[in-house]
Amino acid sequence: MAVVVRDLVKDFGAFRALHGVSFEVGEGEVFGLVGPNGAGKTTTLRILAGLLPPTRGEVRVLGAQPGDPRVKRLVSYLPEDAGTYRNITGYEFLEMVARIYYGRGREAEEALELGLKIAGLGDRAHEKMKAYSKGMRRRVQVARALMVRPKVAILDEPTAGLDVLQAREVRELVRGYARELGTTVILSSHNMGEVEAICDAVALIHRGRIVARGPLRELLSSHGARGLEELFLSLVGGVR
Amino acid sequence: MSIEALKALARKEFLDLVRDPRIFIPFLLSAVIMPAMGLVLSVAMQTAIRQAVEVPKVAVADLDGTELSRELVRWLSNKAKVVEVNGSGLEALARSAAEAEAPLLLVVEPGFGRAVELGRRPSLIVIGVVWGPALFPPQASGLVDYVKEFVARKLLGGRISYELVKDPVALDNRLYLAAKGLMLSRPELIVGITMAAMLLPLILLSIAATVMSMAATSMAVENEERTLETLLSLPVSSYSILLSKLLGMFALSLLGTVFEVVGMVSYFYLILSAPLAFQARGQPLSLQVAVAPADVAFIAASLLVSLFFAAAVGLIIGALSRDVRIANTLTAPLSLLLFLPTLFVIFAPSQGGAALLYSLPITQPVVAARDAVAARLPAEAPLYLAISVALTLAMVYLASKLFSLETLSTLQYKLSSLLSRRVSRGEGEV
Repeated sequence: MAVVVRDLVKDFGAFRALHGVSFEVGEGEVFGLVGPNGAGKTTTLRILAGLLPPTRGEVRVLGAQPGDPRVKRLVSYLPEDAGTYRNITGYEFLEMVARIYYGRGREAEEALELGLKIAGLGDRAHEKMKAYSKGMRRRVQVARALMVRPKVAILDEPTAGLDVLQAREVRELVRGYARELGTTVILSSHNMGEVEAICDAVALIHRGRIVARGPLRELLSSHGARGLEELFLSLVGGVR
Repeated sequence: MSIEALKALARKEFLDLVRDPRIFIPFLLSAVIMPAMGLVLSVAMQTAIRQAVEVPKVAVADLDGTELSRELVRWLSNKAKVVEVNGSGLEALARSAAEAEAPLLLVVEPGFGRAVELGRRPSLIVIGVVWGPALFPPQASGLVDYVKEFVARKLLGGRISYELVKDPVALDNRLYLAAKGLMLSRPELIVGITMAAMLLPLILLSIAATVMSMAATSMAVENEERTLETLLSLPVSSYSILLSKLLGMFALSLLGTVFEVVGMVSYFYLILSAPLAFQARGQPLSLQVAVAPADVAFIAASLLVSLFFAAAVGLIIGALSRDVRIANTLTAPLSLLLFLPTLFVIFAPSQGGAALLYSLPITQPVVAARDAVAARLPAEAPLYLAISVALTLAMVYLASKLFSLETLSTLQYKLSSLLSRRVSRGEGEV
């Protein structure tokens, strides 16, 4: 398994954000963590990325604890609404990432080449990112996350705030390059349709608890639901 | 972490900052404002000193009309530009002097000639004329000296030399600035040097405040734009992220310091040129003597360390701020608190607490600037510089310990709640 989460609990002071979350993600799988805003998706993903420590429970990413320096190089994390630096170009940003991972060698050049290809900026790669559209900035971030050929890519709401066309573009990028690079993808979304379109397996999370998990098709057929939205509503009873 | 990764992050920081033209405004302003302030003060001081020793244009109202009073007017004409004015009453005469743009009016009262002939003290009135508020009113001492000399010569009638009566002992009045080992040919020269020593620290203080604010804003933008989370997820330590930000900021500060040093040297030159211009002949006092190049180099090095320290403090403020607004709200009062010791330096005497003031990164360039102008740098200055560098690095290390998403999020949340409560309480009171 690429990722194992068992009985994960996370407290912020007196507030408990996660109540014993458990799920597993197989290697090469595209896994969706689905739930409404405030369900605990971002907290879970931040813990997987090593940005937050768990309060309790077991979390393993590629067999090690999240944040372990050996694992950190193999895991990419794309935060929700991740911004870009206004005054540097897309090319310079991707070049910085390549150098952080690979220094100045051939590997760095290949990573930069891949990043530019995924971002698809063309000549505009040399323009300051403040001149980019929201879709372009998101493509740069997705490129940043995938160009280093991670074993695991953690994407928090990768299409949030994008219009229909931009969202589809990013979805295709994620799906296409995940397959091509053999990357395990864990993405969060509150867009059920999006998850159905690209995920192999899902976990539905509500108020810090997993309410259902498993391969997408099996999950839908076992509950007799036509789609994730119907499944989710039947499980939580339409309660926020 | 590799040096290459650190360089890549520092380069990103530098480029993101340097390409924002607003960043250069304070640096350019200091490069222009410092010499401008120096020029204004220098002109004001030169004017005051010149008025004290020279006689400017003089308006003369000869109400006596005797041969002796006419002779006085001719005598004054050889010493200064004289404009004769007429009118009834002192106010009318003063208005005529103002119209003639004469800053001094000498009224030779009726009976002047008669009194001198009888060997009595004659009556004269001197009125200064200003056209508005003035820091330095017209000085009448030069004019009065001339008039006294004229009357004294007449009273003495050539029996004893006037020069002997005026100055019966050969007196050379000088002032020795012990802290600097500098002999000033005129006591009033100390005014210019004191003003320079007090104003320069204030200017350096404002530069440090600018860098602190710049760093706080830069870090707060990382929070606001949510780029910090991306940085923290990269395979680099939080210490490296902080260090790279400081290095990028430091590189920019280096660039900014060039402007500031140019401004500072110009300021020194201009502010000191006024008193230097009035040093007596035969007692050369150059700018190099007043502020040695080695002292300027020390101040520049100290300023860099100080800017690095101010940037580190700014980064902590920025890191704790969810957005730029909160960072700006915090920077102003915190910088005031931090700079309290600096204000002490400006107004404190040279002696006392010098070792402490020289060791703290914020106060060091300030106290050094003051001493470079008005005293001497201590022999231990290089040691103090090393202590200041060590304190700054310790500050960076401590700051890196704060640098985790959970700690920052918790502190940011608490700080925002605190500020919101204060704002809502304030609104409630209104």
